[in-house]
Amino acid sequence: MASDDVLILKGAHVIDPALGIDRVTDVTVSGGRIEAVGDAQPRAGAQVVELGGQYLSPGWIDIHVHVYGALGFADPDSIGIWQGVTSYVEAGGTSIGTLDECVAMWDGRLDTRLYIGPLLTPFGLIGFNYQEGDARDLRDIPVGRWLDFVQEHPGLLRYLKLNGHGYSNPGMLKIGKGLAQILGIPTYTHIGEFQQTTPEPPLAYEAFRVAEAGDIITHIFHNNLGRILDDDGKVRPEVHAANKRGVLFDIGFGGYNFAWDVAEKAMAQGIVPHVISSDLQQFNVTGPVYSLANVMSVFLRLGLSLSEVVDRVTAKAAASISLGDRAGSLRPGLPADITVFHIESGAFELADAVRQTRKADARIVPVMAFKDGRRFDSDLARCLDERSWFMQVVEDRIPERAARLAPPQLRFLSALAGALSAIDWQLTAPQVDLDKAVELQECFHRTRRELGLPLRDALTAVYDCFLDETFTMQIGLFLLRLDRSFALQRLRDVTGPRSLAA
Amino acid sequence: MSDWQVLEGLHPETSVFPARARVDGEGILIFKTAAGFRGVQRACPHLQASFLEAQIVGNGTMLRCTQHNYTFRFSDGKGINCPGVNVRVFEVKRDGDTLSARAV
Repeated sequence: MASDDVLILKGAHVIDPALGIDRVTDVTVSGGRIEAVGDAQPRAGAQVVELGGQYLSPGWIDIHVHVYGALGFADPDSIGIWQGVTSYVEAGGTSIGTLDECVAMWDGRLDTRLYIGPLLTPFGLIGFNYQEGDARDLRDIPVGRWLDFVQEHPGLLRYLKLNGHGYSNPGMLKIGKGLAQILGIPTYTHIGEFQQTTPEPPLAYEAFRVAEAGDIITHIFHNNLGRILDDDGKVRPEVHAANKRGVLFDIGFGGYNFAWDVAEKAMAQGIVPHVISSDLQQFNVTGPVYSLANVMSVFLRLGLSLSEVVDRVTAKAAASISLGDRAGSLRPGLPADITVFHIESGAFELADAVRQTRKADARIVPVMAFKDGRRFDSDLARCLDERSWFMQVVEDRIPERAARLAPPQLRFLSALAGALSAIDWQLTAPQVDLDKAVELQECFHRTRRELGLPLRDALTAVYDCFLDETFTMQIGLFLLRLDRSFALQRLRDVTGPRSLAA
Repeated sequence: MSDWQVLEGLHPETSVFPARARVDGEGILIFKTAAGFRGVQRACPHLQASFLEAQIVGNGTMLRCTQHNYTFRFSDGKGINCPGVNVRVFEVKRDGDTLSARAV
């Protein structure tokens, strides 16, 4: 909105736990920022939005989503602003070896404010259910590059994601903690075994011991190996100890990571999550997660008050990632990030990640969101469009968008085809060949540098050869997943003599 | 490719699909799509969730496991969003009221 535009959001039940507001009143927005919370007088030229019967809160913050890499979306805003989420954190899809690619594609280009929680291992999440990097990656933590990146992109990185699963050796957690301290950000540790390996003892309990006040542990109510309950259903002592120390507990609902019975037993013993997040990704957006609002509804059913639920996606979520100076409340002067929602009454069945359900008589439904004062009417169906969550390589034809590539991009693709033809690759399962992905990535970047093509143009050129909808994935992994002969032929077809001459 | 095997007890019009069947001793599921019938192994290779609740997507060309969205192509069993993870698929033909299947 223009700097002098005034917007009055009238008559909603305003819940702002940070300011202690929980009543029907008005919110005035001016120039994209919060001007005031309180009964507003009529004002010449102001746009008024009547919100009687609705709730209004600071814009929701989801500290755990996947919008980059194999788990991501072609339309990341479909799980953000269009679902009432004004800011979110990409949780581990990228890392120091691929952050430049992620930033080139998404930073500043979404209507939802994107922050990044990079993974410790340099490539970021592999996805595809392959095992992630193992101990060999510990040899490759370029601290200087990390520091340079943080300096060049202040405020972009909000936590360092660690894997508290996959092995028993706590070295990764401890080195990760050290790097996070150097970078001045908290750790954000995944607990719970959900992949093929089942290390014994699981690393989860060490994660509770390594974490310090302000560090975050996610998937707190999962029911896989490494859960917070012992065999008798009691919360384990290291979990209580971490809670007392000020370690923050986050939900990260996901497709594997939340179980009703674990949540019920743990909350009865005083373990209440500090933050509610979704872990939305293309593998769970059609269920059981659906949206952050759905996860919030689960916590209403678990007995938190509406204000307590809102607190965990606004003030507490912001505080957990040191975002309180720009989001999480309606304090005058802050960017006008606002979510309007209603409570729908009815008979609902809420599912967890392990096929347990609970009946509920209410659920939270976003109505609209404002980002810097700009309005977005909620559209929960947008993310269910296959084109958003489903990365599909177009095999039977050249995508139309390839015809719109610029000559420098075509020259790059032609050079890339030549360079790639010297590399043999094949996708292997169940363990991805990370070294090969890195080799393909280096080939891509070397070719790009030689031609002086901007990174975004080079990435887009490759995506557009193979996809109808842009999925942003680590380029080495993207190339690795393509059948080699098909990929080389497609590059040649796109850059054939006629294309290059055009 | 195995020999055609009649799917006893299945009727192309009156049976409920997906339907359990057996080919070469292996229990499979027969799906009815807009393009015809197709056989698929019974469980998702990811975490062994039954395909009985799977959804047919992509204009009848793909099968999506509803547990974690792993999606496979009916034509060759190739994992679409989970490259490297594939399912076994079976060709199914109709001859009057009889269905027969064979491994692809």
